[in-house]
Amino acid sequence: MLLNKCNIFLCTNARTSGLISSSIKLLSTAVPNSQSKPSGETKLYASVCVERMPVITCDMNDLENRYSNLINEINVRRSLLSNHELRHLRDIERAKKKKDKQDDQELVIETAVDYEDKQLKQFKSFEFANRKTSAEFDKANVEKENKKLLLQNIDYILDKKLILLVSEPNSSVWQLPKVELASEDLSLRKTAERAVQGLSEKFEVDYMGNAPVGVFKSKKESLIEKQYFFKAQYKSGAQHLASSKFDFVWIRKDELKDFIKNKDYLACLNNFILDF
Amino acid sequence: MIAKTVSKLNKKSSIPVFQSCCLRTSSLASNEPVANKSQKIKLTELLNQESQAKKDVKMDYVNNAEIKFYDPPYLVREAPFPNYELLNINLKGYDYSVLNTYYKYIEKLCNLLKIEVIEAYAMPSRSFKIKTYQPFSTNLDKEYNLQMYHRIVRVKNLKSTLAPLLFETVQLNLPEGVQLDIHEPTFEEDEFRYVPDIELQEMRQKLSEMTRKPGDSKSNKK
Repeated sequence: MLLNKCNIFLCTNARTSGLISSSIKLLSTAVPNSQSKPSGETKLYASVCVERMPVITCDMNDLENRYSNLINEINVRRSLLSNHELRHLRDIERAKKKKDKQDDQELVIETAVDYEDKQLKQFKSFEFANRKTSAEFDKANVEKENKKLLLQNIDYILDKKLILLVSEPNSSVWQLPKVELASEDLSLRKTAERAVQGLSEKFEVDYMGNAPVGVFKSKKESLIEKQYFFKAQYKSGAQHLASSKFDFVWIRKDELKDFIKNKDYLACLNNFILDF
Repeated sequence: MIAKTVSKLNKKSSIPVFQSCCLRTSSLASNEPVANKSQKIKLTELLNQESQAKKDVKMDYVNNAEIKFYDPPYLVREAPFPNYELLNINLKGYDYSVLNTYYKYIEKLCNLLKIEVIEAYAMPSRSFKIKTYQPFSTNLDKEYNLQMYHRIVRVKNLKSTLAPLLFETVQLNLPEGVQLDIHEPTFEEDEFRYVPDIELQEMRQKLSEMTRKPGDSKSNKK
């Protein structure tokens, strides 16, 4: 099967070059020659980049805050009077007329100021949920061993995207969960699904598309490894991830470089992992 | 098709085929001239078959004639990568200005990524009247008139390896109050854009009644 793949690849290249040269190229791999060495085994892997999307929108920068405040000020000063403000002006006129006329007609009308006070009171009584979990405060102060436990908690940062990294127990090599392509898999996507189900059965994930998003090729002596990356969004079941077979961490994209030492792998990941 | 030619060449002894292509022939080839010639013909036949299979016969059903393309046979018209043919990116929101600017941003983004944007249009908005009542009574407390605005960006031939990245950028950059929905376009959605033609509908109803009549009369007789 692999030889056929090589042939197909060569055919597509050769078409543009010319007929005769194409036939020669075809035959260079088709003719079985006992003296030629094998070009090397290629192993195909499918790995999945499981991400937990941000739960809340992230806070604005210092610069963004100042700019948005400035723009709001400008808009308010430039705008025409709203209904509420017109109502306020009318109330003031009415109060003046009352003073001058000194009539006994006392109509109980809700003034604009009263209305505003009532609404503000309702606003203050509303309790907003916490934007930062308590775990985030601890992160800066905690020691190294406890830090790992902290990173395994999926809710420790709410406003940024978190990526799942997995490592073999007692090894310092962190990578995305990956699994080798088996003969029973009909497509690479099925292999990717197997990779995630291998972590835990109850770990639910939504795949974004059927095609891989990136490729990483590594060569060790004569062994060529190709990893195809699929993208998936975490749906539910993070509490079932703890197991003795592997070690896992949920980290942000800027912390990726602390965990992944291989520069080429990191460069490849940076291509398709987006973070704003 | 390419795989077929390759497998055919692999099955037969490939050396004589090679020699038939070359001008010089060795002693081996001279021993079997007939076999070489037959294999020579087969190679060219194979190549012809390839070019013939590529000519898709497309019919123009309005004029009932073949749409003839005069491109040379080695030009492949199909996209070399699997892609999503048509996709609708739906944006819905109650806040008009935010929705509008975000929809323009997506259009610019698609143009930057060289994704074919066929249409970027607005769907008619749906208005909602929301009434809140005072507790334990039917007296009106507050009344709101809201409008749900709807924008659609239609994208054609989105490369399937680029698709997850596009979905993610759109999702991550969603402003507050905007709902995102990506799916293939449906007929009902398209029909909702147009104002229904009352006269046409009446005529159609009359026509269906007229065609139904002989059937009805038969059932009455029975």
